[in-house]
Amino acid sequence: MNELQIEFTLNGRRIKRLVKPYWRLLDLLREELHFTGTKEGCGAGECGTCSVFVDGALIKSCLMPVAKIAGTEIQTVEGLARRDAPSLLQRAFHKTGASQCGYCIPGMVMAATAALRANAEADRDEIKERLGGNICRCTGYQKIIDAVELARDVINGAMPEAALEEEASDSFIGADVRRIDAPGKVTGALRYAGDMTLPDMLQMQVLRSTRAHARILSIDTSAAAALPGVEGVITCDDVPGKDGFGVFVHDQPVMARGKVRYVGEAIAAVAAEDLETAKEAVRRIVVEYEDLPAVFDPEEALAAGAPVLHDYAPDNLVKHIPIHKGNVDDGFGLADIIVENSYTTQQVEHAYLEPEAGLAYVDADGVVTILAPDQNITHHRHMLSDILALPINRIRLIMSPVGGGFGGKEDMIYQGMLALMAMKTLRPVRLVFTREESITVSAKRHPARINYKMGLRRDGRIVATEIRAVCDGGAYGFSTEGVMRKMAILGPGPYDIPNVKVDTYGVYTNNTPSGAFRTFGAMQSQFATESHLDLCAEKLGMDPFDLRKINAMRAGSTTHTQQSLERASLLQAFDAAIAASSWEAGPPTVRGSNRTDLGGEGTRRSCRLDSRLRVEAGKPDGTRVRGRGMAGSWYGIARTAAMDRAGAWVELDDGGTAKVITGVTEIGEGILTVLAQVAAEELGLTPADITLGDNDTARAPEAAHAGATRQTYMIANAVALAARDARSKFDREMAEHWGVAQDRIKAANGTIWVQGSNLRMSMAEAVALCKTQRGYVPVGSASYTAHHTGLDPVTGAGKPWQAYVFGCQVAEVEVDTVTGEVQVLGIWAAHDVGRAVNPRGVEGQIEGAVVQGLGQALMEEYKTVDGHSSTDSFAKYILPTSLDVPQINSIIIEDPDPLSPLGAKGIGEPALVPTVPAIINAIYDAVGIRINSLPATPEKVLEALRAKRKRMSSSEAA
Amino acid sequence: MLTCDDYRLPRSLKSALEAWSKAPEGSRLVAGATDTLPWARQGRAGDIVGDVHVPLLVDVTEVSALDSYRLQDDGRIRLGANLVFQQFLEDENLARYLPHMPPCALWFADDQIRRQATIAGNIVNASPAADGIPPLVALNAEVEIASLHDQEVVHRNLPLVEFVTGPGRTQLQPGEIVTAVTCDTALGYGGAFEKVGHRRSLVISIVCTSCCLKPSQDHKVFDDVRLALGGVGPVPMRLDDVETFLRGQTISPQVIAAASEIPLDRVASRTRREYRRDVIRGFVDRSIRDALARCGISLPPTHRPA
Ligand SMILES: Cc1cc2nc3c(=O)[nH]c(=O)nc-3n(C[C@H](O)[C@H](O)[C@H](O)COP(=O)(O)OP(=O)(O)OC[C@H]3O[C@@H](n4cnc5c(N)ncnc54)[C@H](O)[C@@H]3O)c2cc1C
Ligand code: FES
Ligand code: FES
Repeated sequence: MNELQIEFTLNGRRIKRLVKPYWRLLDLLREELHFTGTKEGCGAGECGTCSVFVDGALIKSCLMPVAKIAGTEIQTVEGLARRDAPSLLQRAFHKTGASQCGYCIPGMVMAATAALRANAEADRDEIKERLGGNICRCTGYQKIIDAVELARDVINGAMPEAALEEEASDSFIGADVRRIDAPGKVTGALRYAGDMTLPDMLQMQVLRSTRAHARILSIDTSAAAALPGVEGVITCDDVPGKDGFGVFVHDQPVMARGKVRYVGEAIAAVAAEDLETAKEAVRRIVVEYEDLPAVFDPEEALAAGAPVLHDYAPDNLVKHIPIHKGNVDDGFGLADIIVENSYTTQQVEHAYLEPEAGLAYVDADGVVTILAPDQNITHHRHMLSDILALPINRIRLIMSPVGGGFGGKEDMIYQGMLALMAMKTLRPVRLVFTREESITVSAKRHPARINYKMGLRRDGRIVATEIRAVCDGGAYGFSTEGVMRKMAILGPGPYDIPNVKVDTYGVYTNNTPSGAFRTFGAMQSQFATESHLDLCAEKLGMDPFDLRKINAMRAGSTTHTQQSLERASLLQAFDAAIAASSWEAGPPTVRGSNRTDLGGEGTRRSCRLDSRLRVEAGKPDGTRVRGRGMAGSWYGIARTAAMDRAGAWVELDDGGTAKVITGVTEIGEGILTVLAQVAAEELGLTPADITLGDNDTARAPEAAHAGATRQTYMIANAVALAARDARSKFDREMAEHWGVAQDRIKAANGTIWVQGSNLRMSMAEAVALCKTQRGYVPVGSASYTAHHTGLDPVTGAGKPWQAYVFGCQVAEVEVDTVTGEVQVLGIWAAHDVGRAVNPRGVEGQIEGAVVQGLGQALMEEYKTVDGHSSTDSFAKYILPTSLDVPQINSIIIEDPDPLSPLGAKGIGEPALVPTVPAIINAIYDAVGIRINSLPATPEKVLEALRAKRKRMSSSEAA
Repeated sequence: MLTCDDYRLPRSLKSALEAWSKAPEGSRLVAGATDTLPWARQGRAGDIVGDVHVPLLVDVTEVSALDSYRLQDDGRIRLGANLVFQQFLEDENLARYLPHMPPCALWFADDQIRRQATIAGNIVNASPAADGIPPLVALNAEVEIASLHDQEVVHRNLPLVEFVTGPGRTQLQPGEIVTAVTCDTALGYGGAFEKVGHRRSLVISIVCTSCCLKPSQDHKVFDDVRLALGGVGPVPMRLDDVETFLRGQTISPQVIAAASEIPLDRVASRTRREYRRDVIRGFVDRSIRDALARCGISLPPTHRPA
């Protein structure tokens, strides 16, 4: 190989290096120079996490052969500004809450910098165009674009620099405290697992199945093991303990055992001194397969005689969840109209920008340690203890910063292989997935086929709802059982219905597995319900809000699982959405062209990609039509139908600071900032005084996974209680010191005082006093419990949650009748969150969820052909860009939860639920077609329009 | 990823041709590399670990003879093979001569890839969905190709419509390098580009339409119209019949509507045929209107029921 000697300037410094001829600029920056602010999200030009300046022009460094950069000047995110003195733009990103998981953010900052360098006066449309090459999966882009506008205005002097600072407020709870982890994200300083290296580290690669269903006759790893530089090869034979993992059923081996059940399943893994050698070793592993009949359709898998995937489940059924209340047959007997329809939803990829990655090593004490962006280290440690046959405290999981999860990093995938390899080689090992690998092997959102039957009285009362959903669980169980449960419990929607029959079925097939994904099944079933209600409202000639209001759950209503609700904020959400969107009442009878509420303040301009053309495109030609739709939603907070719990420790620390230690899983949702706010408020400090401990099974109390919208509810409450515990002990000491009653002690913002006296000191002094004079270290601890009960296996009766949230969204769309393309111009999203600890953070969650919903409604679709992924890259798996997103108008409703010490509930998942049906209903309003099968691609929309025209002309003829 | 044993960046056309003609079997020529690198990955050309190995990569981006553009004496414009799409947006002079290229560039990939993506790469890659080909086809583009004969650089020219023979297939012979594309200029024309895919940035065309046209001085009739489609068949398609129909015709919604009915049966794609037919009708209509608007002519809508 002919290595190349190149010289170039990197962030102002001359560099000379010998490089491999095939490296990309990205490889040089990351692997050789450790400039890891530049990320590899896709390696194929499709995401923008790798954007850097070359001679002043922004390019994607994954598409830049390194030889091209000889003699150039490179600027990376690290070179924009010193990280202790961020640029105005970086500060603007911090201010507006533009970063969530942060993985896209360095690239986004680069693109934004390029935009403002190119045109310091760029308007919002132009900024969006210039950011069009950078994908963000978390934020929905709105706060990113806000940040660029803010920076522009500060740079141009239209706004003072002070606008970049945090606004002062009396209380930290309910304030837009800036994210505490943002500075590290906007400067590129934060290291994710794939950015980390350990001395003496090996590189790992995985051999994956090319068959959908096959017996493995033999695996020959001898040629791989013999390759110089290979330090370890593992297969299922290396598993010392009980091999099997999954959330509800441990049906998946760490690596294929006896047979493979889907394309991409891990069969063997190799660790070598470098990546090239590891790859070469993988090529040398020989697997002999004997193909088995495979099944790719869940209905076919349920039929008698279908190929069986798992011996324990001869019917291929992962789980059936029934929810039966009243008697639907009686209900339908009372109905004036009965409406039936079917709905299908597609398989959807999480597409977190950070591909799976992890490091593992066996530490000096023999503890097997795994560092990974893992959404559920608590559960994964449990499973690994059985798999590795080690006492649980000999396994340590540390969560590395998570570059987006959305449920996809909640199901365990590769952690077992990492641990086994570290045990085998006794050296640190690192595994980083490619984007293609991530897409083809990680679990997806369950595709569902839903048959719907609803009976209503003429006045709009729903008297019976019957739902049957068959869902493709793919090759392994993962979270399927839980997803079926949530899909069933919440399926009929937030409506008080006397007779309900819901049956959800999760089924094994030889497709890519389905698993946990934001809303855990609730999105699929409520999409059906909210689409169906639009159909019913049309038949009854009722306004869609009115129909829902008649049936809305209220305080005292009984849920489908026969739980009596003490509170319900649904009507508030409806009224808020109506008011904010200035909704014009009327039945959903394709009113689009006659509406007077369109194109208002809450909408954006239709995108024409012409912001940089000096001349405008042609006038409206009547081929683009608008319409509006709405949908309601509800969601349960925290673990479903099971006791939920979280623990925390708090110590008031030297200098008037505090340590807060809890197994909290920050995946971009902003929970660290929420915890800092809560701890500061409870302890009388400021968020800057709070030190948050890592999420580490060996160092922090259990707080379990990021999922089920449980972070604020469970963990912030645990931290609040632990802080109160520490404070009360501290106050007791201070009261004794001052000789006053404890209830007169107050503290805020770093000062402690006795009410009604002039006794006061700084918290720093007080902590010192407490320790040195009273000999007491003020520590507190707490556990917070959510008292949920399981469901009756036959009727589904039970109390799955103690806190529920309700929401409603209105969507305004423009349908292009020439192309079938749908642009969503505005979303009004009204959501109850209990109490908004950080309103800007709540908005960020809503905006991100809405855009994920938009993706599912209009473009995203993970497809397989005979089990082989045909959408295994971001070129084929289409995600919304900055040019596809609507203006999102968030309306936060606060109906505090009486059982929550903070009153807060949650918002992470619920905001995604109503987006899809609101958009789909809006399409109907605009052009009179019902898209019952997601996504509403341009082809599908135009086909439906064609069919509608045909129907109309044949009915005219008749 | 794409691995190689050697990577060369020749500076002259001759040395590039020498390197390329002697390159070991399996070697590849690259310019911006924006098609080549993504191609060499898992699920595409990559092997079980997602790699493609080639002996040599010959990079032509340092060859100055392939750079920039110039007006020729015959009134045509010569675009260097290495011209990148971003240039159509940033070079006002170029935009005056090729007014339909800026809207095409805006739809092309994104701001970053456009700085790498060359016109020659787009043409030689010969994707049926290539956005850069239809606008050039509409201006009678010819591809200028160089090769070595007895140590001398020789050139041949081929019309672009003939050069591209099918999806990913061209008339390029071993050892040949594309040096330029020449085409008519369209000074004083209005230009438009319509494209549909599954989103609005970083998107592959399902159908695209390029139009540039010139109205008469009094804005009454079409003096010249150039139209071409992409995405509708194995090769890009010039709509000469529509052009002929429109030339000399009165500018009116009815005439445009009639013109947009003409190309419907030209959809040759095996997939999404009905869809593409529907879109083409609307796109021809819309792109003519947009191009007219850019000449200052705005027409009342012809309303079609949804
Ligand atoms: C994320 C992404 C988005 C994209 N979006 C679009 C889009 O919207 N529209 C679109 O049309 N394309 C798009 N592309 C494809 C690609 O960017 C274009 O086709 C581009 O013009 C290719 O040019 P290049 O110089 O980068 O090609 P390269 O990869 O360098 O080369 C492509 C082919 O052309 C050959 N070649 C290059 N130069 C010469 C020459 N001078 N002589 C002979 N052969 C040559 C190479 O050997 C190779 O076979 C996209 C690509 C990516 C990664
Ligand atoms: S890693 Fe370069 S664009 Fe995704
Ligand atoms: S913040 Fe953009 S991808 Fe997570």
